[in-house]
Amino acid sequence: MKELFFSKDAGIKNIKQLKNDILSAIEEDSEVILNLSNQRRLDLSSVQVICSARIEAKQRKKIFKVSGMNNEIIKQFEICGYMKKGGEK
Amino acid sequence: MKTILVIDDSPTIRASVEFAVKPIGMEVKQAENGKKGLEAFSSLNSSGAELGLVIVDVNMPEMDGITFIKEFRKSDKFTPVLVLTTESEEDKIKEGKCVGASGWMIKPFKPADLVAVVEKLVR
Amino acid sequence: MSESGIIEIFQNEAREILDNIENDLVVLEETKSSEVVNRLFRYYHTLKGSSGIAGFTSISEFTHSLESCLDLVRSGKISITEDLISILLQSTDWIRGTLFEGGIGEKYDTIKNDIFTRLEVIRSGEALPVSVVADKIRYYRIKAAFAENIFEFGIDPLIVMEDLFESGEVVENFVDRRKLSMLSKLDPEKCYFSWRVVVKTAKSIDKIKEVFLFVLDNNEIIIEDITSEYVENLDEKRGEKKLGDILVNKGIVTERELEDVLNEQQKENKKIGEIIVEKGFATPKDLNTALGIQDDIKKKIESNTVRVDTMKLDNLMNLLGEIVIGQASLNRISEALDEEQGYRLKNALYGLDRITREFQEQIMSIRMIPIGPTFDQFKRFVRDMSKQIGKDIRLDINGKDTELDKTVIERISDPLKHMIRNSIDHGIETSEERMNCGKDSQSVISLNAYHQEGSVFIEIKDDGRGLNYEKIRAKAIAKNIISKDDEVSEEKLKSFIFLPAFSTSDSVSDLSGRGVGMDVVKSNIDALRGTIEIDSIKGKGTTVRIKLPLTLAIIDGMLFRVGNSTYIVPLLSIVESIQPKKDDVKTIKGKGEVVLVRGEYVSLIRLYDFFSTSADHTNPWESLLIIVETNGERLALMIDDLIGQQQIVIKSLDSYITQSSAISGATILGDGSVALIIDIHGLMSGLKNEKVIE
Repeated sequence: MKELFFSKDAGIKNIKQLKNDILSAIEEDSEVILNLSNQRRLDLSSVQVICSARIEAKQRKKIFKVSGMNNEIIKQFEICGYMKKGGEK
Repeated sequence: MKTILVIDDSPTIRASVEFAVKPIGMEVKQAENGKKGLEAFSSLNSSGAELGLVIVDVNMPEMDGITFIKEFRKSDKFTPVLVLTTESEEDKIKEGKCVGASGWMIKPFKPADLVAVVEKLVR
Repeated sequence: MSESGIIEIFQNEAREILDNIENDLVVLEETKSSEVVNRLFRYYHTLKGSSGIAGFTSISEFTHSLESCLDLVRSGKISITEDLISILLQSTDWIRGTLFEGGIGEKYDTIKNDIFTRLEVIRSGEALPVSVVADKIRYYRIKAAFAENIFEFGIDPLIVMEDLFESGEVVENFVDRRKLSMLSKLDPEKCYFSWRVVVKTAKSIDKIKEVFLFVLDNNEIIIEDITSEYVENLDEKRGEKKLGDILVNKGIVTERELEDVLNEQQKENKKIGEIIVEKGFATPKDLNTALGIQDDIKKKIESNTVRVDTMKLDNLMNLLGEIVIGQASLNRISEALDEEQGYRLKNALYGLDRITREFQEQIMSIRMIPIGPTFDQFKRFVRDMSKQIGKDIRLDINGKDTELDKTVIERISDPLKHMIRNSIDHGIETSEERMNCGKDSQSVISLNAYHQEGSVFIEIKDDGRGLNYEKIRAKAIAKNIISKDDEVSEEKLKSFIFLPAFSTSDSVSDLSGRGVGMDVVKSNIDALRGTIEIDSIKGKGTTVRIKLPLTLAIIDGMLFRVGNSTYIVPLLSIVESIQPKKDDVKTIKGKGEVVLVRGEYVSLIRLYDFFSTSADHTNPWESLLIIVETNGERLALMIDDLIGQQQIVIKSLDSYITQSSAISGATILGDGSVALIIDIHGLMSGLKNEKVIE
């Protein structure tokens, strides 16, 4: 299992790096957890990458999870159709 | 630390922007017209600072805001650009939108409103 | 009318009202519809009145305070919150308890006081400004498909959507993520998501458009006002349309004028009548006449139904059975008559037969009631269960109007509940798991009912994780049903679920896994002469499909003879009939007498022995065997002769006549003799119990 922190802002400017970081983590480990506790907000591009990483992991029969979300990020996921109010992880 | 580039010919505006966003941990770089803005942008780039947001006035001497955005977008695609206008000037907003502005704000603004916008936009 | 009679009537009425209240409360939580609030208010009002008359003063007082609380909701002074709904639901429990379980004692007082305190908190708490009138609330549907390159304008569509979500209450949010590919093939700098959102807000459409001001041009943003689609007061709307029609029919208003008025109404949200009078299309007097007609129509619809005791229906059905029997005996008489007279009687009987069949269909249709209320009762169940275990589940109901025999409806409710519980508990993943496999965090359980090929189908479908075949396999191995090396098809694995005490759940939760398993569901369905099948795709969900006969009162049966007695077996359970060879009949230790049928040993039942009568033959190879099947198990029934198949009207036998579970009922044949109907399922379980005793 690998826990991944993204040291920069998860946003369009660094999105390529975020993508590559996640991708190589998935390649190396069977279970990857992206810890978002150092992120204040996400933008759509990073939500898309996270969502796409799930698809990637699933096809490779691996696990990709997200943790450490604050309320604002949970709300952002909700808007993207992922979580409902009450926002358990 | 993220830097906000404020381009306006009015020092009051520039100062009030700086005053508003300093408490939330933003660096502010000021410029008084579009041309100076472009220079400030390239010096920021070479110093390795992280540009988070550009706030730009429309009507300025030497180079106006619209021209600035056009030039700016040639080298920076993703940084949000906020256009400052005196009132809701529809045509200016449209023009700015076409050349790559990300949003607009009407002067005068409350510091709290600006902070809210900045917190959302800065990446 | 005696006092106990009134109480009973009130209890029935209250039960119905409470059911309605519970349904509406759940609906209200979803829709916040003012029409539902009004309806609820009326229910409490009725309940208050009736309980007072029936002498349940405590209920009367209790509902009075609920009613006044609803009144505050109605006038917009308190808003509809989850908390409020929960309290109101809890209060229906209290009323039920008081009404049906005596409801006296400390426990009930504590609950009551608790409800009152919580209501008081809500009442004094948020007093919404009265100015927020429901009328001004609009619904907007926003379709937002952003340009692929929108990020290059420094715009984050997520911020735009956040602004939209803040502009009001989001009633629907559908995110189309289909364009997104797997990460290794993704260009992360492009936008793939698009939205379809319905927002409920008091803001004007311009304010909504403003949210998208910066993305309007090169993106596909469609904003529509769909308030009329969402209008709560649907009935009134329909009524008003009728009012317009009446006025046109009476020649008071022309069709063009009516169209004008309807257009106006969309803009102004006034009553049609008002606009018509304002525009001078009709005088107030004309309008009153039309309104009177409208009222009459409504009343007519209401008074066209009659309540009938179901006992009377059952009697009617029995009497019809007698007619069928009478007919059959007339048929026998006609055989005995000379050719000409016999021919005439047969002709007359033929006509009678047609009428009887139609008569039968009509009675059956009276017994048929829609499954809607049965489905509706699960709304609360699903709501409570999902809240309890923290899963977000929506119940989708289709085919409410599908009609089934009343008896079937009464007996299908528990099995359905069990299967829904199974879905909630085992089938549906947690929100986190769902997110991780790219599913919507809200899961959907859908109930569907429809008619097909003379049967009724009921489906319970979820979009959960599907059956875990590996787990079932492991369990089957652990239970010695199959051995480790057996190749077992998924189809076969599925059938194991219905075996007694076969459960794959790891832990016994509060919800399911307590006693009743799918085997009980299966035997319930069997008892209704139905079948059950499971479709499941791993990761996509499970569909349980139940097939039921339209009615229980009539079956297609096979008549046969053993000695002098006639018996009937439901045609459905018969596989084949055979004449065995002497060598094929054996006695196996622990299994008793068996017969080899197509390479498989099947238990042999000597019916003359079982029913302690006599038979023409006592050697199986001299008599006939009918092979019957239930639950995948087979039995060979030893009989003398097959008589033929016939539609049978079942008469239930009083329990003192037969204690045997092998007999499900009887019917009277054309010659007046009685034939017993054999219940294969009962017969088989009876045999099993016997073996255990041995």
